[in-house]
Amino acid sequence: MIERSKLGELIFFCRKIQKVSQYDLCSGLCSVSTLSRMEHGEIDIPILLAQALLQRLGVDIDRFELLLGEQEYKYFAQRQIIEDALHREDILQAEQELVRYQEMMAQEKLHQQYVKFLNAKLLILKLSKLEAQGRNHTKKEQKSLAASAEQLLKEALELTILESPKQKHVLLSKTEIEILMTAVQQYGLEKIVCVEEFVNKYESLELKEKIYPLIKLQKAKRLLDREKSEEALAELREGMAIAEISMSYLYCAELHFLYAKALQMQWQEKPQWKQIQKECIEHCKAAYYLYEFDGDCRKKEVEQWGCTVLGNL
Amino acid sequence: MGVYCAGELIKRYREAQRLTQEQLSEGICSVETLSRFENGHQTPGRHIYQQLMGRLGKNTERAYAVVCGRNIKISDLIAEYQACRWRLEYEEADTIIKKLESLVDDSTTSRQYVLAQSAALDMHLLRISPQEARKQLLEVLKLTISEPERQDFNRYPLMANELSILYHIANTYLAEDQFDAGIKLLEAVLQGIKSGYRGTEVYHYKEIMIMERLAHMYGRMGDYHKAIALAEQALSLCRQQKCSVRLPQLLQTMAWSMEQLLQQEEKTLDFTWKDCKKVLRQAYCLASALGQKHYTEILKNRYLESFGEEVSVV
Repeated sequence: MIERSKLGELIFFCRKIQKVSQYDLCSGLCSVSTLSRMEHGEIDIPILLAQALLQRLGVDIDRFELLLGEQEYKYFAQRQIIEDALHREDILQAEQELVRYQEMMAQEKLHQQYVKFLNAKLLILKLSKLEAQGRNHTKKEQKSLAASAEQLLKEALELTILESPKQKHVLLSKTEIEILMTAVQQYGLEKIVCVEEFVNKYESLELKEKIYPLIKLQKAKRLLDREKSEEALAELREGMAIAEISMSYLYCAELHFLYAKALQMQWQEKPQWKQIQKECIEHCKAAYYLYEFDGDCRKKEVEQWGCTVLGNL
Repeated sequence: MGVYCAGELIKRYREAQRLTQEQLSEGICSVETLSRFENGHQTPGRHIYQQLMGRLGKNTERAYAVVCGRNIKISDLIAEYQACRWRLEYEEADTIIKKLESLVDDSTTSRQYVLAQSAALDMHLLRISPQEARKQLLEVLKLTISEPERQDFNRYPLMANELSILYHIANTYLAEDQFDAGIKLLEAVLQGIKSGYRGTEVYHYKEIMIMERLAHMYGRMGDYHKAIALAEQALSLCRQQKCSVRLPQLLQTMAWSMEQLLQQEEKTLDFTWKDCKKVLRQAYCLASALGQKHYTEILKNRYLESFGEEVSVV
């Protein structure tokens, strides 16, 4: 029996097809010689490293079935528990489970990156809860939370992305993209271009439908801030097209609502506005019903805004 | 991603094939060691792992693709194919699957994927009867599961391909109004995937899809209360996972079952015609917001049929 790890072969195969050098691929993750040995099946690839490498090649392993040993399976299972708790906004449980994850983990880069990122996400969730309460004496606390979160995100990125990368296009794993996008959402950093470049690099990127709508949403927001409504509309249309074939409605409502706002900005002063107004209301409705289903209180905001548009009819 | 726990899989395969630990481990490792693998106290080395899986007649690789091939175009085609299925555009999906057939490699998993999808599509396009489709799907299932008729899917660790084949088989029962058979199969599969040999998000999507089919079949069978309860359960899972898979369909099933109960004029209902209308309208609006054009039209007509008026949204 020839003992060759299929995963290494797969990475080699994808890398050749995508015409990516070993040096560019493993930058910040492992050494070129280690990658080389893994590709040849001389050593086993830790599962998380394999995942990150494949993601940097535009292949999410959704399409693969991985059989894991108990220890590796535990990482995945524990990550799932933490993320489910975050989903439910159960801060306390998420914190406890994250501590447990840290305890079972070796001091390995990708684990550390994950822990830092999740800690940052937790802080951001706390922050949004404080903001919702809107009490004044928490202002100072909010500031320090925001600063710690930003610091954590920065540290998480620096673990695998060199500060001044030598290669022209930086390749990104899913976690790296998520960290960047969280940073963009929170602090409006102009990192978005590098993420978009990466997403555009691979035509068949499996992560596309998960990330593209968010990228487009963020870009459109920035464009609208600068009153470039026509360009914003184009970005949003692309975002919605991808969101339609995705399995999640996560950004759909925001996309529709922003589209309605951009339409107004673009056409309000023009004679065609009467016709466009109908389209505008359609998008408002879409956003409204999505928020309603989700139990999201932004529904009210859409309703109010929609009424003012209707009021001018 | 389908992530499976190796020890758990070995144990379940062994039990499904009615082998004892002694029989499986003989000449490979000691019974004690096998037991430690199965309980998760020890991780099998690659060599032993391959031998064990080999004896069980299973894939010996630690990771393999649901579909693989030497051509990166395949990835694009599959994404495109799934998007078509998703938008209920069966003709386009059919064209793509034909292309795929000539491109994929001839590993068991790839063949299984393409053959199963073709059979399901042929049934949708009315080229073959549900009965014929079921026969084909069973054959395809046998590529990886010996004697599927004898397996207890409550316990059997199903891989992604196998799961989707069973889902399609349930649909063939539905097409023939054999609700009992369809429900029995899907209930077992649902139990199976909940019983913990696989992890992560993909399995939530599958769970929602299966629950949708189950709710639909319970409704058609006349158990409207059960249909509504299942749909509600699935909808809350959708909310939790921000999942749009089958969302409007679930709402429609719910509205339809509510309608049937209201027509029977049952006294103890905790909803009214107004609620029922609201659910169907929500289904329509979400289908439209999610860009499911084909389904939006269907729901529009359903609303007109049920309530004798155009669906109006304010």
